[in-house]
Amino acid sequence: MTVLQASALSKRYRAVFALRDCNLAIPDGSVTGLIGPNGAGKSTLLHLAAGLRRPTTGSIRVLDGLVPGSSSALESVGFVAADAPLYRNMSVAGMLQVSRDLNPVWDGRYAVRRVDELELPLTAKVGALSGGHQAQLALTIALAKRPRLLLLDEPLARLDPLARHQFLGLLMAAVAADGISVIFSSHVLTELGRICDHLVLLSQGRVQLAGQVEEVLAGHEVLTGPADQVTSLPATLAPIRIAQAGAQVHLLVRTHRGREPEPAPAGFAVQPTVLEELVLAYLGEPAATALPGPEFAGPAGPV
Amino acid sequence: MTSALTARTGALRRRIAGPRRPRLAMLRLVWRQHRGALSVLLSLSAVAIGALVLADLYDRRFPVHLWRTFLWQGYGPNYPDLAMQAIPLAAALFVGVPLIVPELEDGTANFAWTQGYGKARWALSKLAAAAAVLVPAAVVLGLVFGWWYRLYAPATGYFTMHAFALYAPALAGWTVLGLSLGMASAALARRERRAMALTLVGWVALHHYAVVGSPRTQPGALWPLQFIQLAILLAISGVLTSGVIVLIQGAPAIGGMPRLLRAVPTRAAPDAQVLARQLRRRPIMAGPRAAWRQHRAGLLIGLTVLGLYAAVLAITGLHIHAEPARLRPRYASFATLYLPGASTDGNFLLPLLLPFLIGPFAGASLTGPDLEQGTVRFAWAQGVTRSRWAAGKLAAVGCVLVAAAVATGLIFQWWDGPYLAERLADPWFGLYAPVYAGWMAVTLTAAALVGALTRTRTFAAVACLAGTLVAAAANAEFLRGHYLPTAVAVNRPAPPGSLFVNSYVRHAGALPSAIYTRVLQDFDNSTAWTGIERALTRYHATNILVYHPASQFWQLQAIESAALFALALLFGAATVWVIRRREA
Repeated sequence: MTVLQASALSKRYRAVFALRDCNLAIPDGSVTGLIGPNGAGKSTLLHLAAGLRRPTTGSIRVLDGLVPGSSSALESVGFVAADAPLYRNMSVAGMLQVSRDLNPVWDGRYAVRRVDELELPLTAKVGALSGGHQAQLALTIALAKRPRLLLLDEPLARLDPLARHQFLGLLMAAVAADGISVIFSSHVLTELGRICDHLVLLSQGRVQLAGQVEEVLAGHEVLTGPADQVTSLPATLAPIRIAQAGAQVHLLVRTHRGREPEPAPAGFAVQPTVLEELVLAYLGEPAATALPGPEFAGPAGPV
Repeated sequence: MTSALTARTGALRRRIAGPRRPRLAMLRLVWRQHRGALSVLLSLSAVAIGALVLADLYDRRFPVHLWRTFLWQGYGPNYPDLAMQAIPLAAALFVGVPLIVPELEDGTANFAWTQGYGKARWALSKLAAAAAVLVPAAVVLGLVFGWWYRLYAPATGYFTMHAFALYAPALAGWTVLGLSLGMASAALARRERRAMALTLVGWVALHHYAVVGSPRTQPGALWPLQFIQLAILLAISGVLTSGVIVLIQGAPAIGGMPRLLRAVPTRAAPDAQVLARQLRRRPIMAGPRAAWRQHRAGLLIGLTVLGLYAAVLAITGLHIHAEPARLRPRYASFATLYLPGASTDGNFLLPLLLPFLIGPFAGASLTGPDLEQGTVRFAWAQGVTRSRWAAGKLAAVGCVLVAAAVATGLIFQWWDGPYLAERLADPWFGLYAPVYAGWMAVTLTAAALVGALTRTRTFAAVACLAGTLVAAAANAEFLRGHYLPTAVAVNRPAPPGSLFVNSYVRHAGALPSAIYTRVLQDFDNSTAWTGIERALTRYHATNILVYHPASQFWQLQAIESAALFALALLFGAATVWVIRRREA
């Protein structure tokens, strides 16, 4: 069961590749964080999954083989773009009614309850709401269509800390109650750590790191030791990032999955890494990749 | 690949990183922001200049006394004059208004105002930059016009409305006035469409009142009066520009603070329970209802205009039907009898234009704004496929407008009943239901298609307005005569109510030109023909008159409306196809 499967997926805008040769499979029931620097291709990937754009080459499927943008995919995929586009000159109630008319499945009771919780007046014009409230309304509409997959582009960017907290709580509630899968892009690393169980790191249009958060963390460790002994380390270690602090050096290295953990080299101490540190290390080294084994993202099967 | 890209962007990079070149900075900025509209206006001016030069070569072949004939037939300067006067108006609408409106709307003005340009200097230099591009073009066009018009001036005078405004000083003045009027409307309205409407109203009012001279003024006063006109127009521009500066000094741009500060309306919300129940229903009409909710404002304006026209028809029609036949007012002058103050000619020009005004704006709003503002990323992520989304909108809005056009067409048919005999000859062929509704459908779908292709509303609407008007004129002038076999009358008039197609004279010899005129004027008036026939016999000339008899009226209606609806279906299908292939 995959909610998103991409094979050899590329998207080019004129001369610039936004995504290049991505292979990706995201399992059902997961909350996936999509991370990467600006221009890494996060929005493009989400737009492709929502069916708003078409791949240049390769293929992308959602919810076990549905073509994004097809009628069955649209019915069960919710999407909120980064600027939460809504009809600004319509009232909140009008916006809900339009959404009801445009969706075969629509939970109006939920939508109204959410709007009441947010204390949005139903008669207010959408354009008169603050940016955060517009984002909340867009999310409410996306959830009220009871999607199986929810795609959110930078949903936290326009929310204040309290709203962020509530928003993530809401998201987790929806995941727990209906078992929906969520893929969202974000720059807020601490929040990601709290709610994501999967992680996709994009850099310059390529998938740099993808996998379950726990596995990814277990697959990396930090070695700390004297700086002058770095040269004596075995060449197979291939550190992703080397940070020197005085006479001490910190090395983020990949451990070898499926093998016995090797003893730490002489003079070095081994520590587990944390998500934020790992992500920053990879963002700082765009060339480093840690693609998952075939059990996670093999080439797509026949569709 | 990468190195090629770097090489290509190398020059650009150097330019961006290079030292700043403060000279003409605003001119560059204005050109960069508005080059589309500016280059269209410059090309229009160039086309007008070219057309005048070509027309001069053509016109000089005719003896002087024939110019009057041309003028009478409407081939004289009237049409080109009107077209050329549209250039400064277009400058007002498409350069003057956008000079500052998008910046105020999106809040990029807040960016501009923090870049070391004061608000006043920002506004003034934008105006000056746009004027620096357009005024030279206006001066050249005005000079060429003056040279071309020398042939017509003795017959028509220098001071008719149309000609006077096109000499170089006046045209330059109107261009500057247009820009400042557009900008002032923009500063006042702060929304693009409102500002455009305000500009249009202001333009019409100023054209009515800010004109010097009259048709009776002596020719010698031309150039003094031209410069007086220029001075007046510049003075009004100055007042408008000061108004702009006062207005924009007052408030910040919309995109920034005020939206956050603006209080959210606190009307009591409807009962949540009731609304929730409402939201649960999923009727069959869901798609059309969504389209209606989104487009009702525009649709209501269109329906109101059509309704007003129908009301005028109903009131005057009741009067006409109540009169005994012999007291019935003459066809063309009915309005003076029953609607005091209305002008006698052109009564039906406006209703004839309605499909070309309503259709393009309604059609362009179906596709343009959603693509322009990015709300398609909302709409296309809902549970309806794009093809259904596009087809549903077109069908819903199209059905309403076409039904309204059919209804008004039927009311007109009832109104026109007492004048049945003149039906085909009258110019109001296009007001009957089949053709009226057909044009409504064509303009609507064409604008939806252009809106989908160009991702714009205003441009698509205006382009379709102009394009379909030209197409309709060409159809009436060149095509309608060929839809059915024609009848021919040799040296005799056509039966009353016929549609004139063409007329030839064989062995014209020394036949006075006035006879041509009378053949055209009275082609189906048998009493007037006695004199014409006598003249033709005297000069041994043969006149061949090609016409459609009145009995072909409904056939012609059917053929034309079938063609129009087929075209509309084609445009509609193309719109759906384009939307399917569009990327958000």
